[in-house]
Amino acid sequence: MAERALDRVAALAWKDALELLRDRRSLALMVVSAFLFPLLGVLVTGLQRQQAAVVAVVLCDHGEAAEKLAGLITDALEGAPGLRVVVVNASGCRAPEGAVLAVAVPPGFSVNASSLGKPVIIKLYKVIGSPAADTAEAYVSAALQRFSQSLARERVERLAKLAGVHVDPGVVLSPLRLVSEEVTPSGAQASPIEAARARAARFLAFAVFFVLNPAAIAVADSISRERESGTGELLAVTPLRGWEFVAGKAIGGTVAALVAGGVDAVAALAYGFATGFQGADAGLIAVHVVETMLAIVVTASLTILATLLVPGQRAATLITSTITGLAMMIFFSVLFIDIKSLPAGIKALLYLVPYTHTALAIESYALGDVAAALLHTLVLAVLSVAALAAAVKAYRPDRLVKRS
Amino acid sequence: MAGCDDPVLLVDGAVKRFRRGPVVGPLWLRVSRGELVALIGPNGAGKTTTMRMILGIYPVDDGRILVCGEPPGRARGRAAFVPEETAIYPRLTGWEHLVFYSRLYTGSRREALQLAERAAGLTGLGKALHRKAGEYSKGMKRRLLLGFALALETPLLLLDEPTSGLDVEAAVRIRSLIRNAADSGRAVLMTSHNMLEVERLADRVVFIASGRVVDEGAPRSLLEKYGARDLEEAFVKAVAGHR
Repeated sequence: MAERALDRVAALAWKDALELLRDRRSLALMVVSAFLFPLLGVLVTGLQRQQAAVVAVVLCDHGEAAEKLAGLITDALEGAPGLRVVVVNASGCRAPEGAVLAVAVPPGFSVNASSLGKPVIIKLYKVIGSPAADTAEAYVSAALQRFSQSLARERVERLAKLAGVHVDPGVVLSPLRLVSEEVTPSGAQASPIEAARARAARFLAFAVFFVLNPAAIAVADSISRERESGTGELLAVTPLRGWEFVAGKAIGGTVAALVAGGVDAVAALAYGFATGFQGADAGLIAVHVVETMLAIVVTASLTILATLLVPGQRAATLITSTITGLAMMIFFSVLFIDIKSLPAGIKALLYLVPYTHTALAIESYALGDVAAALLHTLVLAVLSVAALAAAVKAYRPDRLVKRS
Repeated sequence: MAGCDDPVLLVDGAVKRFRRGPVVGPLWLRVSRGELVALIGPNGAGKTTTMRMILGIYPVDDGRILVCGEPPGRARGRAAFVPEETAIYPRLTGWEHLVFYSRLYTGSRREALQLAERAAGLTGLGKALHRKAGEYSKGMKRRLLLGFALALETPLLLLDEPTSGLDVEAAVRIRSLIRNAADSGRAVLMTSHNMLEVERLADRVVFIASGRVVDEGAPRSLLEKYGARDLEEAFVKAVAGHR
């Protein structure tokens, strides 16, 4: 009996997988979307190199200090993609037209710089709404910081000479020495490998999202198409039972997720090679695979449940967006928020969302907290079973047919 | 048809109520072995709802329906169905359709292949079975689904508008398959808008309007009863007399 039921599940999953694998357009879109982020990066970097935004250093002072500052700014901007520096000798000391950023060195700059107590003023003109100006400002600020440090050092040395004392200008200017060390949540010293694993875990938790999206779309689409095309009516009269339908559709969705996940993995590896990504060892990847599979089961079950309850193709699309939006919200939060440090009420709400446990299980394992990883995996497994059970309960033959 | 006593189908005062929409029923209907009964009515009369109640897709709110003496939910596998829509998976071949449905009904690969082979013969599609069903004409799609329904050898066969939208040649072929199914001892219930087809094909005709049976009988006796030249005229008079 069980063998017959399993064969029916396999038949439905086989049919759904076959339909998907023969849908060349959808497959092509999956490949394109997997490489969309790396392509976006390449596009932005490429366009940045093509731009020729001008950064002007307007010299209204021709003393030694002014020339030194101009040299530092020119050096800092040399090689910056899409930025070109021009040094302008002008008396008006205003930003020249066409420059996204201008650093004006006013008259008296060098005199003040060589004094012991006078401030040195520099004026910065920045064009609003220009991303190139923001980038240029960062480079210029770094150069100004270096100039300021060098000036302060010179002043301390001169003051010490006047006072007849010997001091280390570095210690006077930066008396606070910061000695940092990365530690595990239990307080033990973290090795560079452990630190890399923790970073990799956050990346891997975020990557789960890209696999869930195709799974949700495939499941919602396959059910609503069964309903719209009339094949659902034929399925409804076969001996296929509720749990067999849900299991078959969930496996079909998993195939879609694995196809998309495989492509994503290639894209992630390409990204990893390009950026020197480290820390994802075999154990962490194995945990990631388990958590991803459970997340797919939850997503497929929730999508089946919602698609069965709310008829219509448009509704199915909206449901998919809602479920994947929820997943996106959680996985994105994990990148920036320490969920464990949130107030109990918010944390309790987040713990009701299965995807929170996906992210926390991966993170906990990476941080060496295997017990917490197991606990989150267990909770995720329970939520997966609950979602599957709810989907099975929602199954009724009339929910597979279009209302005539 | 072993294990199925007459009547194969008994609809005994069945009623279906929708939260929004008309009530269908109460309906009384019997279909026996070897009998071909046609359900005739205008759009919205309740034909599809009746079919769906018999198939167990819609639960009955009042009354009862028995297929081979059992409620439809427990009689799965005793009734085969061909919907009005040419419900196919366009990316699967005809043969893959037959294997897929066969696996759902048999639950074993060996039995499924035997059933699919039998269905393949009944479709008469030959080599076209290995083409994607999305490339089929409407007639070919209907033959694919009807071939499978016939291969199941269920005591009851339900057909929703089996020849609608087909060319003459395809319609003749389908009608012949349906008549043969009834002659071989199956109980056949079909819906149709084609009165001429029904007059020639059906053993008994059931007129349905506004969710209720208006009249029923053999085509010839209905023509005599209403003094009509054809079933279309008889139907109009029957419905008018019932208003």
